Amino acid sequence: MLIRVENLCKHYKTGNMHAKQQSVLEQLNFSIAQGQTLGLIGESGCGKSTLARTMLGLTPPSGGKIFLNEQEVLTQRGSLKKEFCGKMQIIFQHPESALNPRMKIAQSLAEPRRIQQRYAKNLAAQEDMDSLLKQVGLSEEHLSRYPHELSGGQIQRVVLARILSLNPEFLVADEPTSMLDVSVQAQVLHILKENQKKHGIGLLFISHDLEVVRWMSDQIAVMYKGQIVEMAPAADLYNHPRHPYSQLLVESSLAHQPVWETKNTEPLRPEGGNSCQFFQHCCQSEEACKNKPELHEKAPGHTVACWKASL
Amino acid sequence: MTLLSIKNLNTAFKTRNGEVQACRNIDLDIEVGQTVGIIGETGCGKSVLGMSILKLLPYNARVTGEIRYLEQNLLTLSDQAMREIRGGGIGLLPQSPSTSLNPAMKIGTQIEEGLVLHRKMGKPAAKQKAVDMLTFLGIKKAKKVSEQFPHQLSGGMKQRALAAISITGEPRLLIADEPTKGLDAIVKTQVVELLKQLKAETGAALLLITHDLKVAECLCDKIVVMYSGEIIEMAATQKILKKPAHPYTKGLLQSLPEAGMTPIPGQSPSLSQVISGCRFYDRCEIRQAACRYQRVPLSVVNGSQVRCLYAD
Repeated sequence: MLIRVENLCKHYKTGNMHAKQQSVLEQLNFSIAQGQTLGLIGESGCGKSTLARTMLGLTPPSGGKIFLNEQEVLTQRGSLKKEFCGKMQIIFQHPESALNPRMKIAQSLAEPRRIQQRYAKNLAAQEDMDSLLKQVGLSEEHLSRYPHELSGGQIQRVVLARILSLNPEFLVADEPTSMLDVSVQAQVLHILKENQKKHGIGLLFISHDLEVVRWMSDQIAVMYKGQIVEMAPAADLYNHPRHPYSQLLVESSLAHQPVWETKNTEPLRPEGGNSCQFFQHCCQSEEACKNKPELHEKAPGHTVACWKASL
Repeated sequence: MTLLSIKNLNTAFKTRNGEVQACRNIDLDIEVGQTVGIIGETGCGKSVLGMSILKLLPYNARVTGEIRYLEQNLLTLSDQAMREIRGGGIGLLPQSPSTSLNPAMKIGTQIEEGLVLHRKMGKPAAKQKAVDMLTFLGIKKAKKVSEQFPHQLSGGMKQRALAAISITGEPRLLIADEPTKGLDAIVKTQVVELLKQLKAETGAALLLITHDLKVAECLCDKIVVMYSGEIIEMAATQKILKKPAHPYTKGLLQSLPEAGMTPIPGQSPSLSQVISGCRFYDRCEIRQAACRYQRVPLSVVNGSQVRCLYAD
């Protein structure tokens, strides 16, 4: 396995006198192989972006381990940490804030390699840059521009070129196209997928657009309130979602109808807090659901965290 | 009856690098109670069209043509009269709910403003009405919410609060500018449902500016496709989605994820670029020599209006 996540947790403390602990990520376990794409879907605020940041060590986790090629990542310091940073990269959601506004595109493109001290000679770097630009479909005239002179789609291409310049092994794409329109989205995602397959990059693709995730991914994980509630091969999950929440997501994506009929709008769990996260929104909840379900394999390669999930 | 009629609208911005023409020769009619969707990619001028109607453009904009709202030409109207129309006649549901509310004002107070201004209500009555409107838009514990500040609400709730503000003046036309941009599937369906509800309740016409074809399909009677400042196709919703005539519309539908995400090659031309022929020429699959130099008019092909010489 290229990357493996073990029992990853993240809590935030809120309040001072009556400090409360809020759990954002709970005991996540998954792995991604070389050249594979794991799609991650879930509603806003379910912890998708926190997971992305935690995996790269941008936010320190509260517990758990991450292994890249069987080497623990998060405990590394100094030059080793820097090396891992070069191997693990991220595309952020908002193109307008992704690049330094005071650097020309050429400077932005050269920056990662300067930090990683990976260039040999200026000439070679220049040639390399040209081929990078070609890969993402930009031309040389863009090099002398500033980020504000480019469109959102062009900036995401520049970001992609920057990342590819480091030859990363693992890449997180955190809703890279949610701010772009369909035609530009198709262009950017084609480039991303092409290069990912070519270089064998492991990809964690985060999005809330189910159609896009299905097109990009080999495996899909569904996240709800910081937990992975279902994980399955892309087509399988899309055709036979087994967790009630995934069913809801798939249905609302297909029909554009509100299927979000809840019993109770308070997003609170019953006393004790050990019930299923989805307890109050679920239309099938019953007594057994007051105990927290674990991920169980219900079909080959298809794991679900639900007591009631059908086989 | 025609509620809003736009004739030969041109909107241009004077900039240091020359004139940027964002809307070119736009002709568009909106009937009473009709929902019209404007789709197109970023920078095609669709938001500028919406803002031109409300005259909410920066000082360097030059708008020519005619926008007729119930026998008044909005472009020649005084600022005073225009203020009555904004909110009162034509409402706006702005793009991002997180930045469109005043962060230092309570939700209730922000809704009351419009009620006091447009419906000449007293303060206590307006307060009650604001709570009623929030309840109507599906907010439970509306009284509590009206006492809260925007940062205490979720994205979906802010969108509802904005929707409440946009209909305080009982407008006959509502302009919704990308109401679903960047929202997740569930909140998106909620917003679509919200817009349906707003329409059903107020009977207002809706001008929906979006790049989400699915949302447009759910809501619109008529769809207008814009490309590089021009209307390139205009037809009934099902007609445009099932049988697109313009090559750009076809490309747009094919770049949807469920249609296989085949992108249209190339990029749209800059709005400041002067092109004598078809603006889609460089990216078009069915281009001919004539497309390059000849100005292409909107013509009727199989019942839809298309700006293409070779549309089938």
